[in-house]
Amino acid sequence: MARLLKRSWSSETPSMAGILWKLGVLGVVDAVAVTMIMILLAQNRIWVAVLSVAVLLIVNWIYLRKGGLPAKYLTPGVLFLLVFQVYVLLFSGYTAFTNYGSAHNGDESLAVQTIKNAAYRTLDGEDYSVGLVKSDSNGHEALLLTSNLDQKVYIGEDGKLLVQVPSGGYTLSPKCADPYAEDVTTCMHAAEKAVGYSPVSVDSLSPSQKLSYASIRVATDLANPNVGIKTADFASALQVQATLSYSDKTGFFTAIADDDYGNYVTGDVFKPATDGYFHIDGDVNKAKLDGGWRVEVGFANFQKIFTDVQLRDPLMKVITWTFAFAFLTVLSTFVLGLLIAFLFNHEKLRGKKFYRAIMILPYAFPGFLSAYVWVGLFNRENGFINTVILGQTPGNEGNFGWLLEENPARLAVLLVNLWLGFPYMFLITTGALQSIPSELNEAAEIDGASGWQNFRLIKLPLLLISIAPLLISSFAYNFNNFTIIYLLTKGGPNDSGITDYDVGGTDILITFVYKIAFSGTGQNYGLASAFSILIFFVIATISLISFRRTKAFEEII
Amino acid sequence: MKITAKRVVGLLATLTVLGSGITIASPASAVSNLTIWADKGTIDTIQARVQKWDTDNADYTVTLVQKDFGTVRDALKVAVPKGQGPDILAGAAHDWIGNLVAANVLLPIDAQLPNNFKDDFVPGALQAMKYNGHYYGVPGWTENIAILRNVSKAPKPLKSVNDIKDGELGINYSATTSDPYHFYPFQTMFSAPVFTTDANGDWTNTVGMGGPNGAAFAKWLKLKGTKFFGPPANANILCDFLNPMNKAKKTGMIKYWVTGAWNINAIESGAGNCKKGLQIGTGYAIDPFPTGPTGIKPHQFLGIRGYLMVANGPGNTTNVAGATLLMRYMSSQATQFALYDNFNKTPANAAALAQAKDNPVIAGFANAANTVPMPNSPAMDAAWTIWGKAQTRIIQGKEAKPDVAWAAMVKTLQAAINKTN
Repeated sequence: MARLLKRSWSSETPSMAGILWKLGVLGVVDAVAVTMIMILLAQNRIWVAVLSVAVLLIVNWIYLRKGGLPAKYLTPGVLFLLVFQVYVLLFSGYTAFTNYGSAHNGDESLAVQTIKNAAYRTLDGEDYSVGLVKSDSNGHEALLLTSNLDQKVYIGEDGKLLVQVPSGGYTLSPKCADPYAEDVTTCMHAAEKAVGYSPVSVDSLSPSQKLSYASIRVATDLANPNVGIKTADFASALQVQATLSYSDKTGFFTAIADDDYGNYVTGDVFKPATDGYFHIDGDVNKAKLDGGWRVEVGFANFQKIFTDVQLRDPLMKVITWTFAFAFLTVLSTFVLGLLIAFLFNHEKLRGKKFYRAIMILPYAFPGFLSAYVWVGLFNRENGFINTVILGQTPGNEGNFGWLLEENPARLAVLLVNLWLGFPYMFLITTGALQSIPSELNEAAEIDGASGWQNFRLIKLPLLLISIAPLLISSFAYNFNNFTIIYLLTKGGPNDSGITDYDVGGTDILITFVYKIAFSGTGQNYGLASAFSILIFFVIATISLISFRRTKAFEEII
Repeated sequence: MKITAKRVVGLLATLTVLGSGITIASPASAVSNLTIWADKGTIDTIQARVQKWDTDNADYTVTLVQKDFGTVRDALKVAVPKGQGPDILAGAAHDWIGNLVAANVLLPIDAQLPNNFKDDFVPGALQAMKYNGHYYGVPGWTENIAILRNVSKAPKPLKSVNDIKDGELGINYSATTSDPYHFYPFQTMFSAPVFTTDANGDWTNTVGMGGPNGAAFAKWLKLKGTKFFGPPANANILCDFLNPMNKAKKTGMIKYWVTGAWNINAIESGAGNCKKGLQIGTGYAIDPFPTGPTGIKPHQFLGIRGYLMVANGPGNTTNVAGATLLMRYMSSQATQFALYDNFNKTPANAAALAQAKDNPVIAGFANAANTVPMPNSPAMDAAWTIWGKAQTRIIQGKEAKPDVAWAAMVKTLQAAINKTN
């Protein structure tokens, strides 16, 4: 018998079915991974692809080699841990030290490109319809311009003044200059051919040729090289004036015209500053250009959390409420769950199965569903609680404003969490109560202990040994219970203390951080990540201390 | 490792399955590509016309990608730095522009706007697409609110806001953040614009609703309170507007409703246990806002949904020529009229609007329009919240000194705006 068992569990002689299964699953995983790697390579993400290949080879080696059983069990879990926990932690940690947010969402080259895109202004006056042409004599690229004002026709070459083409020297296109003009009989026609120039069709151009045509600047004033007529879409040309020039060598922008809004004058030099913007002379106190990039800011985010007055005051309130919320939730659910578990422990109670089934229902319904139902129940004018339970008049705005005032909203949130959470406590305390040996009860009765003494001195300590870790984890869970707060009140009625930050009466730390990260004027991922790191440390510390102390419970017995 | 037959079979099997995972590289395209991102409602509206343009222009291929309206801005901010954004963002609300420009997402199109194209639009529509002196897109369709009147309950249009008695007005606003958009006409009755305007008529970054005008407005809000404006988040406005007045039961009291074209369907079809719906002209009318307590004619906000040009990444790979051509097509009279005809969108193209004015609803909202475009600075998202929080508290009577609270709000708002600029 032992030999048979040894044979079937030993890794020396696996069955054929087992091998095929393993190869099948491994094959599918490999196929998916290879597809993923090909897509990554096509998108030019070399490092991720190399990493994926390395992981793929390691996984294959682990599963194809003989022995090494622990690794075969642990690999999927470890992989998921690395991807969904460790990487996330490291990325948040890194982001906390940057100013990553909606105004700083790329690197400097993106900001430079954005500024370059807007570094011009159009000048009022005549504009033109454009045809692309090439000179027959010297092959130069040129623009055939028809004025939208007086239909005169000109040739414009790069850096040269407009040269008017006399009538008879050009042919008009049969199509309207505006391709979507309503009335084709009265629309304006642009010139498409001129003497000495051949038309060039836009579709026949390569990207570099298109760039070349887009950079033709027909001069209007030979003395001023920053003004000219240009086309960006090969259909219209306007007079533009360049306002900033960029030097690839120094990486600075120089103003070559005065700003319309008076922010800078000709000659001002914009240098990259430490806050991720271009400022005059790199000084963060002087005017800046629109277009920022992500920079590392060291501990600035953490500093902001502790020193920004706009942030600090609501933060204190939010932290206090978060601790209170988590603690009160755990306390109330534990007490209620324990009470009901005691009730059910009584042998003489009838219909236990029925009651148990009902008690579990709040726990069984998805929290997302329940939260929305509760919002309706708490409605001030017509909610069930106000109209039926409290007997107030339907439709009356003088009714109790559950989710509309600060303290009632907090009470409401605690009540809902109590309703959602007590079945869980009921389940675990039932199990823990039943594991207490009945001899202890009898011994206590013999010794003359009253019911309350029995409970306080014998049952409770024994309960806490097994329940304490669960209470701690429940505290940690409710400290970050984003779902219930956000769904019920979205952070709660906004208080009268008007601050820059969107904070309400029932905001816990995590909903506050969520609002900083994802809503408001500019999403501030850097600040939110710094907050997340702090929350992590707070919870880790509390949990560590609590777990140490629960070991002390074991000393009592 | 010993080479056994089993191991070889194993390796071969694995490699075979591996081999089946190799995909074919996508073929290179010879035609010019254009990508448009839009939310579902916009795609439904523009799809037919975009496909027509695609068919008419063989050298372009247009791809419409559906995105969620609430999160498309965030998706853009992530995709553009990687060069994976679209060429055009369609159906964008114009007050998104400041925020998107600050996030390096948009490309100015000033150089593609000759005067004859600019003149095609109704006044104020193209101006709304301007930020910091540059135009970033073209308008698609417009919307504004007006004051709707139940003709049987109120046969004559309002002259002054003083003619409205308590309980006769219906207006939607939130208990926590009010709705400054809907309340703006009342605010402009006190000459307290949200920002000051410069010589060109563009919004500046200076909050204009402070000072004595703003204080007067705040005091008037508290005076009128929820008796005049009704309770916040009132779900009964539609029925109270449609149903005949019943003074005994205090139902059907609402004669005037401040709302936009999005509620017309509900008004005309009736809903649930309301009486059956009203038709324009005989049942309800769309009026301009009455003058204020001191006789000032109010403005309302013009909301524009349009097409924005996206700057695609550090390499600037946006297909400018194609995108401009498509934008011109979508702004042309023919397309704008088609969008009105099939989807009831008020055209931004002036010629198309003139054609569409045969529709009494469109004509009504257009005639009621004394509009200013909503400001589009990056701070607007937070501005609505800061503005609305103070407003709703004053209306609900939670502020003993409304003018003090309003002044505090103006200060906070100005600080928030200065921070983002």
